[in-house]
Amino acid sequence: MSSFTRRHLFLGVGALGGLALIAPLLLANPYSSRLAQLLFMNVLLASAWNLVGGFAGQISFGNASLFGVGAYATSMLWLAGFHPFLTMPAAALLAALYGVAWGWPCLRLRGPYFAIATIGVAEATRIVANHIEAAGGASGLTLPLEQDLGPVLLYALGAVLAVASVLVSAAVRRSRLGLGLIALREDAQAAAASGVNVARQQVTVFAVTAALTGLAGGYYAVFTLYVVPEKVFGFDLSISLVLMVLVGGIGTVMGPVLGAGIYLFLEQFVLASLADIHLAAFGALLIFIILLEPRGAAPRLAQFVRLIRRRFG
Amino acid sequence: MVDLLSVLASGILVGTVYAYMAYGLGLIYGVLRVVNLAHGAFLTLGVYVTWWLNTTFGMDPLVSILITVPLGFALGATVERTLVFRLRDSPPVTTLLLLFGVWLIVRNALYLIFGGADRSLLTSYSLESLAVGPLTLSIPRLIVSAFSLLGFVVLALMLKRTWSGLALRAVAQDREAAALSGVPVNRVWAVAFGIGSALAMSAGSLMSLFYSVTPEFGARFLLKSFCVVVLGGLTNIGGILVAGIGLGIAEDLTAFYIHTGYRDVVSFLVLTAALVMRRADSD
Repeated sequence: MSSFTRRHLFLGVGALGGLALIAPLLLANPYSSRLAQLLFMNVLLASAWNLVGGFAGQISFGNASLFGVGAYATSMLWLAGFHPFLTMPAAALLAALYGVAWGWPCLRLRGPYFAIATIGVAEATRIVANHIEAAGGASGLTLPLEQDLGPVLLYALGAVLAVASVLVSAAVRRSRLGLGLIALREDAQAAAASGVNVARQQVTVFAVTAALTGLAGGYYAVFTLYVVPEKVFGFDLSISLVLMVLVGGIGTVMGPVLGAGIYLFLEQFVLASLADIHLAAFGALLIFIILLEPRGAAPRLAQFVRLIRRRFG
Repeated sequence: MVDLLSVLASGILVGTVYAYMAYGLGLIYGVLRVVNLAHGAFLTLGVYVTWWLNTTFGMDPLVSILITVPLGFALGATVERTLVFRLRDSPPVTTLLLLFGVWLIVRNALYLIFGGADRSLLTSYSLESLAVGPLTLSIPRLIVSAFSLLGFVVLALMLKRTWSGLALRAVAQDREAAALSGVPVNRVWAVAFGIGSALAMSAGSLMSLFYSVTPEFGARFLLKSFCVVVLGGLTNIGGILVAGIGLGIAEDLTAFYIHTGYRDVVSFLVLTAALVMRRADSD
């Protein structure tokens, strides 16, 4: 991929190195390693969502359907005797297939119609998953605790997945494909008229979104050791992705990363003490962002960084 | 044969309520071009207000419509004035997200006030039924169906015969032309959002007669409302009625011949299929 420059590779290796350096800090206790796992998962999910939601402006409320497929693929293969690492490609592939299966017809819709269609697909998937007895039905699947990968391997896996998803996002952003999507977001008709194959580009990128979301599902199964339809196919998961990206900065590469972090912070430290008004707090946050800061935190942060540089550099 | 007939009859009865429940969503979309994700909030509020009036004052759900209609109108118009109005020139997806925020807040408020438990509302006629030939029809369903049809007639007359109705239709057809001809577009928007919400809340009143009362009520019926509206044509009263009945029948057939657990899958699949087939591509 020509758009994947050496600079990206550099940054990616650097990020992984940095994450390795701070690993001892985060692996100090079970709680902090769980936080790191959740952060990696959120980054992966938010970056994946942003490929289609941010670059192409197609807001999906249905990514839980892809996450769930990944989580179940990993769980069922693991229970069938495969090593958890080997189940990851299967999780990605199955989620990508499922994503293309419903993305292909639905991505022809634009704006609110696409958003509503994704709710329909995700809810149908959730209900059906609740009734599949081979997959444990509504009570879900419990994974073998004694085969737990341990915090170090889980940290490494999460770090690699998260960094890879950001690199993919950067590569897509700079590629012909990404530019086509952005053109589509700004003006669908003009994009089509200038030769962007609107339908195919969206489906291609959606397949990548789906594969990454499936990987996040697989990773989730591996570190929680428990999957249940109401959680992994749940509507709340789909919404949290939208929120993360909106908080961080929609349509940018670093916005989802930032948003994933802010979201995790809010969820763990602010909302833990406000458990009763969890939903309302998210609702208020959503209204606040839409009305006052629709571009999210990323542009503000960039502004801040520029300011610092000007003053000290 | 009798089985099939009774499934059809019950599907038709439920379907008319579905149509009534969905109409507000279509009206708001038609006039404001806004996808009202807070529709579920108004449905749920209607159910809870009705349940509360019933348990506290013993008010009959059908009487409480006299309260839920004006309350819904006031709340809806307020949401439009304070929030939706600010985004009138933004892409539709932003308004959708904003209204979704409103829904989350309402849902949470209901959890806080009433808790998450399923409740139900019983009236003297809740369990009555009427035998028509080989069929047994539930009295509350018959009543609710009749009220829904009545609501449709009132609404159709309002849109056809009154000046406000004319203004609503004018704005729905062409906002700028309506504004140029002296229609107060801003006020019409607030009125349309108010009427749409009043319809949703009163639908909640009717539906409280045979659905359980929970904060998740709206989540379940919001998507069905979308389904009906998309199938029926956004503001087409006749189309919405047919679509509602069609969905009611399809669900009852699925529940009876396949599995009750799959009842709700029907509406989601029909919704997606209908959207894709219509290829509605207006941004």
